[in-house]
Amino acid sequence: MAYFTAISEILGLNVILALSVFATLMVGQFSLAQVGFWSIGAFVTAILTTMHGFPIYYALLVSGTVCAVVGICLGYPCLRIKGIYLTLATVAFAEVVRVFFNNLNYQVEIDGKLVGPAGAVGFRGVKVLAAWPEIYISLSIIILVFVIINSSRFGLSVNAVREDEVAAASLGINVTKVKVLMFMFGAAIAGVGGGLYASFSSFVLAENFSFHLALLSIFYVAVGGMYTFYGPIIGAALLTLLPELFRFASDFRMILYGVVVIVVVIVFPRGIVDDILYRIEVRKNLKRKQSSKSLKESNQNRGTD
Amino acid sequence: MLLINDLSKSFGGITALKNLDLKVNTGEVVGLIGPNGSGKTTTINLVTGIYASDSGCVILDGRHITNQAANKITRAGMARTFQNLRIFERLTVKENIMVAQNIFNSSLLESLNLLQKKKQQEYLIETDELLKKFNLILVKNSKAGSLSYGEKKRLEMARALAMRPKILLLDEPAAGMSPPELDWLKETINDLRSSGLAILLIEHHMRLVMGVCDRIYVLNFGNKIAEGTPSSISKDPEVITAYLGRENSSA
Repeated sequence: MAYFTAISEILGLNVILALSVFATLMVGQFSLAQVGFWSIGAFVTAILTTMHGFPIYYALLVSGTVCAVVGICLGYPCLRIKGIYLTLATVAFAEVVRVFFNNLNYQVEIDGKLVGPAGAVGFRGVKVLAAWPEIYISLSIIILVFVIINSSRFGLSVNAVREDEVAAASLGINVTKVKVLMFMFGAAIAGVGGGLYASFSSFVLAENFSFHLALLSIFYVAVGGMYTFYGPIIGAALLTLLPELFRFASDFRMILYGVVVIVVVIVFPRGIVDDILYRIEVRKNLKRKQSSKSLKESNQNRGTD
Repeated sequence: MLLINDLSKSFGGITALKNLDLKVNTGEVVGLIGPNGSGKTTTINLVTGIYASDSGCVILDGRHITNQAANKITRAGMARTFQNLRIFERLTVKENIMVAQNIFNSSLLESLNLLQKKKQQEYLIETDELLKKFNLILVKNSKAGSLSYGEKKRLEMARALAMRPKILLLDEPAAGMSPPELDWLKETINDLRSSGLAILLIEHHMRLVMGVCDRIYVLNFGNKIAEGTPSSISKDPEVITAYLGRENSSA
């Protein structure tokens, strides 16, 4: 039972990470900075709860806000550059954050013991305050925000910016503002996720939030699909559960995992959810064309009668 | 309505547009014609803020809009269509129109649909009316990417009009249209003019330009070589050599 609880908790955290990457992808921007925000969130929450006695939800709120502010500061200059250069800038940001926390020494004595981030050794003994209820409550709130955005006119502007920035601007949309807002939203999600991770695992090490995690976060979205918010959810779920399903294969399980991922990418090149939606759409269009064709034919028949 | 004064632009030493003066009044259709590369689309891109001009000024309805951001210029009342269609292919037809109506939402809270539900409802009714007018109501829930070329062209025009602009810039609306579609386009432009909209029309299709425009400007290599009524333009010798060509020259 404890095993399944642990899996569901890790699953929830990975879904949050995937959604934070997705938030910036919604405006067509490919960011690897999310691990940086994740790291900031983890350290901020750990410091607040363990060293200053904040309740978990307050600490998460502060982490999210700090990351949102950092997100705006990073977003304004970065979102003016595009494509691979933006990606490089976000990688650089994640590296700066990693090096910063790797060198951060800020310990205080509590009950005769030194606690706090201790450079490359990391922050050990973070108060464990988050388990599946905290993780899934936070995740539900994040999903709720996505639902609100998706069903609103702001969501349409977001989609328009992703589809065609020039056309969006010609329709009066402030492209920079929309991009920075979504970048900020993604940063805030990562901040909350990082905070949950710290309070869940009791241990934060800057080295854990490296390029490897950034790649994984992109995989979640690429495998699940990047045009609806349930794409990243499904992607993260699949890539988290697969290695567990293959535990019977012991040492070979990562090979099996790799094979399945390759097969999924070949069968669903647009990502699982996007591909399924695309196929439904194609079928619908075929039907529309057929029905309009048969309508024309029946009209012609009527003409000859 | 729209006043362009002494507008110039060059790209890396090549002059794309030189000292252009142009005026479009309310309820007037003005044509802008010229050979390919003469600076017509550059003019539109300068006026709508996609490019920054080197010198000169643009005034819309008494407001200086020179070199402002594209979204601000649009909000001042200028709508446009594009030479190469720029519709949002992954959105539905209806959503394409609704994106344009976002212009009426002033705050983020409003555009998150948390405020003024009633007002949003009115926009939906307006969307349906526009789609009916442009004969797109049957495909309103289809993805815009699945439309035919003619439907996409109509959608782009409908989308521009959804912003209730004061002036509409049309960049080659007739390109690729069939004769019945051209008749429809001519009728629509005439309707829009009588509703008081100012229109700047860039077009190669001479029958449409001559039939629908009140005044015409002719560009060649970034210079204005003539302006006047359709009948005077079609007789202008300089315009004939640069652009129109002689009818018997092919014989």
